[in-house]
Order: sequence, then structure tokens, then C-alpha cells
Amino acid sequence: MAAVNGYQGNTPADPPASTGSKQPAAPTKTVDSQSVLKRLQSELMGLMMGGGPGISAFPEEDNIFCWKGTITGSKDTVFEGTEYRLSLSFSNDYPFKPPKVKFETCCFHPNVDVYGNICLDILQDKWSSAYDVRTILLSIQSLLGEPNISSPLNTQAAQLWSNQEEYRKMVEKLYKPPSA
Amino acid sequence: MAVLSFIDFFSTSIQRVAISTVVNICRKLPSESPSLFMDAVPILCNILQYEDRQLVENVAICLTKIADQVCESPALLDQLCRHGLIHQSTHLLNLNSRTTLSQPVYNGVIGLLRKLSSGSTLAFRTLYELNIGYRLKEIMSTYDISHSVSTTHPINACSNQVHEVLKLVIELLPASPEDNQLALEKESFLVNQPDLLQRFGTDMLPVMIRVLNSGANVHVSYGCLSAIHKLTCLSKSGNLVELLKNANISSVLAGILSRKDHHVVVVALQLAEVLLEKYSDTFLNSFIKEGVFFAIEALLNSDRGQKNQVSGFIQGSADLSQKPATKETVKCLCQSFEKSPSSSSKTCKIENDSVYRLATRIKESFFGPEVFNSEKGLTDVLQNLKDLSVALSALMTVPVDAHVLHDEKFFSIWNQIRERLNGRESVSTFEFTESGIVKSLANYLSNGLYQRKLSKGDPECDHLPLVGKRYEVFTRLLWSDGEATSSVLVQKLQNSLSSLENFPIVLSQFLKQRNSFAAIPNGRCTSYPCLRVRFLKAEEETSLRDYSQDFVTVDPLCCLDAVNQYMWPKVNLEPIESVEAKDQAIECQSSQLQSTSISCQGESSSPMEIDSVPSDAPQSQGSQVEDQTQLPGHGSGSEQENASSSSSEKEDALPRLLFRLEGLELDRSLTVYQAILLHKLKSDIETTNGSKMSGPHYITYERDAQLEDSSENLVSPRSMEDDEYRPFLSYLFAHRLALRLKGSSPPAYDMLFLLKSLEGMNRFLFHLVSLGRINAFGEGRLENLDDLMVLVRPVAHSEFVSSKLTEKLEQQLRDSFAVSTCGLPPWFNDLMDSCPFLFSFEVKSKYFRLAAFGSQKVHHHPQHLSSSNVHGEGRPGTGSLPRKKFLAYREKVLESAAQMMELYGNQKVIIEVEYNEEVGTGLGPTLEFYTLVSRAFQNPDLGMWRSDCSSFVGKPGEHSGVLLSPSGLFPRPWSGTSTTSSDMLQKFVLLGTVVAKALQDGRVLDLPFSKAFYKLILGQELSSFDIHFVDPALCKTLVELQALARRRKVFTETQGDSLAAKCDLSFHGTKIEDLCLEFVLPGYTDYDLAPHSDNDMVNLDNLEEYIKAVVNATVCDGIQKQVEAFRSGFNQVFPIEHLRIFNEEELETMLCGEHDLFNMNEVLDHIKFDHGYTSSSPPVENLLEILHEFDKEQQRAFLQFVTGSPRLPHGGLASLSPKLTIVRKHGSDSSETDLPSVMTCANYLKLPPYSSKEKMKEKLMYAITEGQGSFHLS
Repeated sequence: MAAVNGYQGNTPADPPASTGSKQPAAPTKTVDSQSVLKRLQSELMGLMMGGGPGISAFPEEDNIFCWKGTITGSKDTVFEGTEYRLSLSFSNDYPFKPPKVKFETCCFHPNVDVYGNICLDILQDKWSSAYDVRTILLSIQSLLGEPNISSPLNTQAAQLWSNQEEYRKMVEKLYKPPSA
Repeated sequence: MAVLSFIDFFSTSIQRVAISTVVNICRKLPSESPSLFMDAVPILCNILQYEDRQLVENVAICLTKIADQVCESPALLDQLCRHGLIHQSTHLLNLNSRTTLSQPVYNGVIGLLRKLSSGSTLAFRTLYELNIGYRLKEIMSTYDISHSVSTTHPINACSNQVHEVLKLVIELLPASPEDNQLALEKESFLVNQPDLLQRFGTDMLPVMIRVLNSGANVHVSYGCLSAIHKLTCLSKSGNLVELLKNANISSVLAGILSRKDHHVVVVALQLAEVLLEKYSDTFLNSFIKEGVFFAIEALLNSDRGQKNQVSGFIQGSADLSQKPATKETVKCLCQSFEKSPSSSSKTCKIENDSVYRLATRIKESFFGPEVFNSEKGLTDVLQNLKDLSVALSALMTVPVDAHVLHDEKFFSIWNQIRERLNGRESVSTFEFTESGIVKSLANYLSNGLYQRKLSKGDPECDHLPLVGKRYEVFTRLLWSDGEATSSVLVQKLQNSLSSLENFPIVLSQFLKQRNSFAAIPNGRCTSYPCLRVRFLKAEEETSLRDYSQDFVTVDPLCCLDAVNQYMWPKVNLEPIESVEAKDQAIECQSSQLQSTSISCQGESSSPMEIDSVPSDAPQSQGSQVEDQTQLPGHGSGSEQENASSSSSEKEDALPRLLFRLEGLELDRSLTVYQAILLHKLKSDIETTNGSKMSGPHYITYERDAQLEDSSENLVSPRSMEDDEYRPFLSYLFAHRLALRLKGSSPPAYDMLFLLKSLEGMNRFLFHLVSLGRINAFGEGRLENLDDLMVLVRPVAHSEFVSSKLTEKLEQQLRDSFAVSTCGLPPWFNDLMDSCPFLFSFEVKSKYFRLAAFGSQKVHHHPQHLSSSNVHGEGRPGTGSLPRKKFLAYREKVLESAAQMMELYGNQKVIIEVEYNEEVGTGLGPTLEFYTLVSRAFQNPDLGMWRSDCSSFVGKPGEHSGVLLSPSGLFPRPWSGTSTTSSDMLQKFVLLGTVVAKALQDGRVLDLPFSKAFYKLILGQELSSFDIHFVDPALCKTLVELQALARRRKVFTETQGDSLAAKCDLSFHGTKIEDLCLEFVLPGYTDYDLAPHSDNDMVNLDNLEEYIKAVVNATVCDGIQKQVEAFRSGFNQVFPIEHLRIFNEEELETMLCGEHDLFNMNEVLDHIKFDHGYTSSSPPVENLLEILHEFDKEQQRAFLQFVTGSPRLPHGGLASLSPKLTIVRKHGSDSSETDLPSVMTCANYLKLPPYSSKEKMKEKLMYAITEGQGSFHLS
């Protein structure tokens, strides 16, 4: 329930990239890069040293506050063999606040809406500073296989979930592999 | 009379004229020709059914007059009844007519019924058969709820409604059968019809008892009691007993027996006697349990002591030319319920010792030694509670260091108490009070601190953390099973408090408008009669000269301070130096005396006063004391009270005079009138009729020895720098309960303290519980960090409101004189200061208006305060204040606001805004201006507020982003070095001024401040737990980190560094270092948290330091300057301290209006339809449906369109004034294309009669969305 309420609706007219640039941090960016920077750098190091199976993430070229991540569908789920692209944008009070995470690739999933917004408790009210990019991506990965049907963002997907074969077909039909 | 028979054929206006003719005839009715007007009665009765209000009112007057004429003759009265008069008039009495008939007429109708029933058995019977009890119940309960009774003058009190009703009730219950034939008839009727009587009783009893409980004034309670008494005498059925038992008559009686008024007590005793006689087995136990017996015992004891004096004083006073005030009150009370007040009998019916005799009789006949032995006859519950209380007190002697022992013992004792409170056999109020449990609990929790003043450097301050700890433990225990127990405890305390407190209400009674000349203070005319006062020099006073031998007239409305300033230059003898020397001498002397006196409020002052024991105070002033009566028992109380209230403003340059009336010091902050009245009140019984207020008074004066007021040095918050409990404790002790309350009634003081503690605990619940959890985690009792956050339900604020005290304040505030002089009895101010939670929001709002904006507003409109309970707060009638027009510019709202505040900010004027190049003016534009200003303040570019950085609303159409802060606005932290600050601080100053002005003018702002910011406005300190209201996520992490830091600290202390490293100190499985936190403020990285030169990372060692720094920056130092700026701006309009009586939620309601907009249920009730519409016309029905379909945003837009402000004032639609009115718009013939239009200043919506609902919705939507932002005439 809480997760549904926490859903932060971005309109489609609002391109995801602009969320980052609209941050008020702009005037003081030089200073605050320093603070969150270290944390993000160390997380990046951790991911590069060995993140986990099927996940990866890297900052966009010019902005360490915006990351691109990928996850692959786990084995033995309807998402097996798919690869999804996500964007993560960090605010400058990270890690006290969760980053904003969205699917860039279209994902047919009960807890993901058509704009790619994700309904996941640790990204909203259950956030803890102890989580990092790695745990976020792993959580999303496991969410793919174990959706929360009771509070869906995508009701069609939620209804179809019981029929795994049909669901697989839908996933394949809608799946567009990331271009890059 | 012939006119009347044809009245039906005339038009309304002619009917009106005709009836008023009849009224005039009736006024001068010839008593010898009754038949003539008797003929008219049927017609008149018929007219009573008509709809025209004026008509009905006049007819009612007629009938009342007729009944007056014939009330001597039963036969004629019977005839009246046969004409159906009773049926019609009872019909009138239904609730609807309450609003249509004017008050006097309405009362007249009740009086009419009373006369009828007293004179005629037929009427009596009809009334019963019509089930009059039900109607009366309705009337009484509306009184109960709305406090609509207006007692500006007690003389009018007799004519007020409840009074009339009670008279009727008493009349309906025949008294002593030996009287006459009539009463006998009546009684036999009732005996034959027991079910009628029973129904009557069922209706009336609960209401009357509720009235009694709500602290009605003496007259009303006397009436209620007599009625109950009669009812019990008459009733034979067991049903009534059941009723009385359910209503807990015993505890009511116990409460009443402790009152001071003879008459009420006597009736109560009679009632008790009857009850015991008739149903001894049922009531005996509950009487003992509820302390009725105890009260009777106490009466006996005190009476024995006082009997001689009392009778002595009656004797003595009889010699005096003027009747003492007491005596006259007595008379009026006895006879106020008599049917025919015979002017000849002036003597009081009740003899002085009747109380004593009655009490003795009851004791002898019912509470014989075999039933009740005052030693062992205590109920089990009481005994048990007493034991527990003793155990708790014993716990005080255990050394404070033995924490574990304390915790365990307290735990077990509390558990037993809790079992008692929640147990099957309920604890009665009396048992609760008598057991002393309150005192010992208060004593234990505060470690005895609550009894005295805390001052800086007091060694007791070291124990403050201990006190905090105890409160924390107690909170945990109290809320361990939800909020149920605590709310039971609050309930018990409330009951006990209302049974114990006896704060006086000071009503001004004699004042009629009359112009007179007052020589003092500045020789001018007043519209009130002056007081004649003779100022006498105190006998021992040598440094002053005599003032004047003659009586001088004093303006009753001037403060004693003003008199002081006037007098001083006239009586001062000595040059300043020697005065000072003298000063010191007195100071020495008195401080010596002070140290020896046990009294804890020794701040008052001179040797003379301590010499004079209260009871012989009159002698020390011997010859000059006037004939006032003073009962020794009350004297001592008032002495202390008065003495301690010596004014606190010591910084006055002018030396002070000490004024005394009969040796008792007068509170200088009161007006002369108030001081004298209050003084009289203390020495008299509950009511005085103030007959000789204007008479000569003798006031003595002397130099005030100026002593250092020790109460100024309160515990400075800084003295407990590093204490987690600080905000809670400073809240608890900062507005200490005025200790002078303690002097007057120690048990009430205990109650108040415990209530305040509970309220504090309730308010800081989150804080205290979290703290407890953190400690538990630190000590290893909790393992999982996720368990740190708990949801605890606080007790609702409303449970802390004392209905009795609220009612008292209501009564006091209805007193136009007290209101116009701002003079309220000191205990009100004290209670308001220390325990504002006792009063309801409505009454606090009134008090606030009075205190903050002074008397000017209400002075010219006294009826405003008394008449408008509902409308008072929202948009007060501000007719008296001058209005100023102000030209604002839409493009530069903030600049305009600044200019406006500069011009008018500190003046008491109502500002009306008009916009440049728009014709509209008045309320609408003004409200819209405030709304616009509110919006402008929320512009994120100003950098005033915290914002959820990652979530900006960037709607394409809006040029300036609106700040989004889900928890409400809270100042953004700026470090001291920041350069942008001065401009931003200016904005805060302006904001403060705007907010204050909006409050003053009763405007509504659209500023969603966070709860924490309201706390800051209220002058409270914030702690790390308040971050919860600012940024919940941040708060959660901080609390978890805090718990970790605590655990590490505990381990280090107990096991040394080496071992501490081994324990589990990970943060959700991650090491603190791995969080890679730096010493910067999360989200505001330009804020320098620590003077560390290098970029330290946060680790376990500096974790605590980091947390402190973050908290400090977020809610303390980082926003300090902004808050100060806000306050300074606010203070330009009126002192911000006046807001302190509110809590955060109430302040929000004051500022921003109601949270939810209208709901459909109330819409119909509060919208008026006029000029071609009624509530059933099709367009209106369409409109209502459309409104119903609107969502919140659209509702806001609609409100904005119609009223100019998107929010409703406090009270919702109901308090919109003028009422929202929908009228038909007559436009050109093409009404389909017309748009709806509004007059915002009158809240008028002009709605064309669209043919379909769809059409209307379309047009309405167009209007409310497009029409925003400009005012043009339509």
C-alpha cells in the first residue's frame, strides 16, 4: 500500500534527463560534488571489483550524479534472457535519501508503469542509508521474478501474472533490447 | 377585537399592524373586564401557528400579558388552557423557534407556561401529557453545549432561558402537599400517572446532572438541585434510582458539598437525606465510595469551627447601615425560584446553622459507627491506593543512584496502580483524590522538584537528567499497552481537578454607562461610574507624605500601575539617595524574614506584611478598614495569592508604591476596579452582587521594597547542555506552574502538575519513546535497528481540555467589563501561561484576541464577543478599526507587501488592498493579496526553505517552479558565513510581519509551514526528533546512527575499548566507514559542519559528533538567524509571546484555516439562496451536484473564485461571513452564454439559470479556472 502512495508520477512530457539538471544543486555543484562524490566513487569501485551476477552500473560521462545501470532477467523466470536499462539519479543528500531509479527500457511488470517508474519499498519509505547501488539493482532484479501483485502499477500485468506462459509472450512481444 | 376575527383576510403587513395594536391594548389591559380579551385568545392562539415571525412574536407577547393578568384566578387559567394555548405554545418551543423568536419573547413563553401550570391543574396535566420534559431537555442540552446563556448582568440571569426552564420544572413538581388544594390535586394526578412522571424524570435528570457537572453558576445549580430533590421526593419507582445511579449522583453530590454557598449545600444535603431514606441499600455504598460521607464529615468539622464566627458576623453586620453583600445574595438565591417573590420577606429562609444540623442528622441516622468507621471503613480500593502511594513516597528515599532498584520497584508499583485503574471495580474520583497517589506520583517523577522554584546554580539541577530518565521510564510504562491507560489517567485527573478547583470568576455587575469625572489618573471623563477611593499612608511608612484627606474619584478602568505613576511624584518626600538607602535597609530586613518563612513564595515584600497574620490584618489597619467582611478561612489563601503576585516588571525606573486594601496587597497589573472586586470576591462567597463597588474604598500605600525576583533566573536551557531530555524538561519547567496556585489549593496544584506532565509526555511522546529505544539498543536490550522506530498513539488533545475550566473562562470572557479592561483574575493568566491545554481552542482564541490586540476592538462592540461563538475567530467583525486602502501591484507582490507592512505594520488598522489598474476593492482583493503573498514566499529562488531537492515540480506552463516540500515549509539551513543571507533574512522579517498582520486582521494564509516551524514560532526548542517533521528519512537514519553511537559508548564504558571493538556495531550489516559520510550537511553541502580542516570521514569515533553537528545545523544554529528574523518581524505587529497558548495544530488552524474544504453535508446548511433561488430550484440542485463532483483542487479553485481565498477560515463554511450566497443572475435573454460571476466581498455567487447541469459545469469550470487573477465589476 505504502508503496503505491509513494509512487512519484513523472509526466511523460518530462524527459528523465531533465530531472537531474533541474536540481537546485546547480549553483553549488562544485562544492557538493565533493561530499556525495566520495560515496559514489567508492560504490563505483565496489561494483567494478565485482558487483554481482547480471547487474552493472556506470556514471554517465559528464555527471557522476546520473548513472546508467543494467540488469538481466534471472534464470527460471519469465524475464530470462532479457536485459533492462535503468537510470539512477542521486540527490545531494544521498545516502540519506534514495536515488531516483527508472526503467529506461520498456518493462512489462506489475510494479513498473509505462513510464518506467518503479514501485519498490526500499526506494521509498523503507530506504536506509546502508543500501547502495548494488543492493538497489539486486533488489530490482529480484523484484522482476517476484512481483508484488497486491499493489500493482500495471494492472494488466498483475492480472496476467498468474498465467506465466502468456506473460512470457507479452514480455517477449514488448521487449526491445537496449540499443547500446 | 373585531379586527382579529377577520385577520386572515388581510395581507401580512396589515396583519402586523393589527397585532401590534393588540399588543398595545394588552399592555394596558383593564383587569376588571377579563371576558373581553378572553374571547380573543382562541384567535390569538391560532395566529401562533402562522409563519410570519414578527406576527408570532407579537402574539406571544399578547398572550403572556393576558396570562399575567389572570394568573390570580384558576378558573380563567383553565379557560385559557382549554383554548389550546398550551398546545400551541409548546409547539412554539420546539428547537426551530429558538432561532426565530427573539430571546425575551422565548423566555416569556416559557414563563407563560410556568404561570399556567402553577395556577391551573388542567394546564399542569396537559403539559405532562404533552411530554414537556422532552422539549425542556432539548433546551437545556443546547444550553449545555453552546453556552448560549448570556450573563452580562446577574440581574438578567433570572430572565435567561435556563432559569426560566428550571422554574418551570420546579413548578411542575409540586412541592409540599400541605400548602393548598391545588398542590394536592397535582400530586394526586402524578400519583395516578406514575409513568408520566417517570418519563419526565428520564428526560430531565441526565441533563440536569450534566449541567451540574459542567460548572454552571450558583443560580443554575441551585435550581437543578432543587428540581432533582423534588423529583426524588415524589418518585416512587425504582426506575429513577437506576437513573440516578447511572448518572453517578454520589460523586456529583460530593462535589457540590464542597462548594461554599450555603444554599446549594443545604439542598444537596436534603437530597442526600432523601436518597438515603428511600433507597438506603443502593446508595450507601456508593456514597461512601464517592466521598459524600467524607464531604459531610468535613462540613461538620469546618462548621463547628466557624459556627460562632459566622453567626457573630451576621450579628455584627446587621448593625451596619448597609446590608452586607452576602446577605443580599442569600436573599436573591432563595427567592429566585419562588413563584411570587414577595417583597416583604427579606429574611433568608435558611438559618445559618441548618447546614450543620442537617449534616449531623444524616450522620447520626445513616452513617452510624457500625456502618462507617472513619479509620477502617475506607473502601478496599482506597486502602490499596493509599498503600501504593506510601510505597511510592518511600521510593523517594532510596538513593537516587540505584537505577535498577528504582526501575524495578517503580515498575511493580505502577503495575498495581494500573491494575486498579483498569480493574473491574472502578476507582471513584474521590478515592483517586483522597489516596494521595497524585501527589506521590508527581513527587516521584519530578524528584520533588515540582514543589519549588528552580534557579540557576541550584544543586538540584544535577538531578535533572535523572528526572528525565524517570519520565522516560514512566512514558514507556504508560504507553506499553496503547494509549488506553494514559487516557484513563488523564480522565481521572480531569475529574479530580474539576471537583477540586474553585477558582473564582470575577463578574462585573453594577456598571451602567454613565459619564463621570475621574481625577485619577489623568483627570478625564469616563463613561463608567468612578470609584471613590481614599488613599491613606501606611502607618509605618515614614518616607512618604500624606496624599489627601478627601476621597478622590478614580477611573475604575485604569491600572494600579497608572495610579502608581500618578501618585509617586505627589507623595515622594526624600531625595533619591536616601530613598535608596532606606530601600536597602528594608531589603535586608525583609530578606531575613523571608529566609525564616517557610512559604515558598517569599518574594513579597515588607516587614509589616509578615507581621500581620491574615486574620488580624483588619486590626493592623484598624480604624480605617471599612465594613467588609472577611472569613478567616479564605483570608489566608488570598493573602498568599495576593502577596505572591507582586508585579514582576522590576525594570521600571519609577519607584513603586505598594497598594493595600485591608492590609492585602493589590496586584498592580489589574485595574483598580478589578483589584477591588477580586479582593471582595475572595473574602465573600461565590457570588457578590457588587452593590457597593462604587462606595468608598480605603487604599493604603507604602513604598515597595524592591526585592530581586528570584523567579527570573529560571533554569537556563544552556545549563544542561548535553542532555537529551532538554527540550522536554525545559518545556515542563520553563512555564512553571505558577506557584501561587499552589498556595491556594495544594491538591489542585498536584493535579495540575501531573496533568501537565502527562500532557508534556504526550506531546513529546515520539521523542521520549525513541529515546527509550535508543537507550535500550545501546544497552543491548534491543538487537534490531528496525525496531527503533515505533508508532505510538498519543492521547487526543481534546482529552486534556477541562470542560469546567473552559466554561469558566467562557463566562469570564462574556463579562464585557472584564473584557474591556483586559483584567482577568490572575489565576486565568497563570493557568493560560502554564497549562494552556486545559482550555478549548475556541476559548483560547478569544483569550488570545483579547490579550494580543487589547481591548479596543471589543470595547466598542462588547456584544461581538458574547454573541458570536462561531463567527468570532474567522473573520472578526472589525468595524471599529480604521481601514486603510493600499495599492498593490500584481507584478511585484513581495515588494508591495514590504511596502504595506512598512506603512501599516505596526498600526492597528485593517488593510484593504486594491490592485493597480483594477476597479475591485474590499475583502476579496485583500484576501487574494494574502494568497499571492503566500505563494511568492514559496518561490524556491528565494532560498528560504528546505526542499526535497530531488523533487521539483516543473510543470511546463508555470514559469516559476513552486517549492515542493512534503513535510511543509521549514527554513533552509544557512551557515553563518553565507553571503546571500542578509537579503534572505529580510524576507523572513517580512514573512513574520505578514503572518502577524494576517493573524491580527483574521486573514487566511496559504503557507504550509511544517510542524517543526510552528514549534519554532511558539518558541520551543527543537531536538533531533523534530527533524522527523522536517525530513522523515533523514530523521530515521539519524536515530539509527544515534543508537549505534550510544551502544558503542555503553560498551566502551563497561568493557573498555578493546572489547568494544568486538561487539556488533554495524549499520544494517555495513560498517560506518563504508557509508562514506563526510562532515557535511546532507543536501546542503555548502554548510560547514565542523571546523575540521581536512575532509574527515565519519567513523565510529566521531559518529556522535557528526550526529550532533547535523542536528545542530538542521534545527538549531543553522536556522537560528532566520527564526530570529521572523520573530523580529512578527513583533513589529504584536508580541509573539501571545501565541504561546496554542499548540502547533491550533496555530496552523489559526493561520491557514481548516484543512479539509467543505463536505457536502454542511454545504446545504451553510449556503444561502436568494433572489430567485431556493434550495430546491433546479439550477441550485445542479450546482450542488457539481460541487460534489469537484475534487480538492477544483474545490480550492471554486473557493478562490467565490471568496478570493482558496481556503476557508477556521470553522469551515459555517464561519464564512457573510455566508456563501447563491443568487440568480438576470442577464440578457441569452442566459446560456452568460458566465457566473461573483462578489467576493459578500461571498456572492451570481449564477445564471443554465438549462442543463453539463452546461453549468462547463461555464463554472471556465469561470473558476480562467477568471482567476483579476477583479472586475459585474
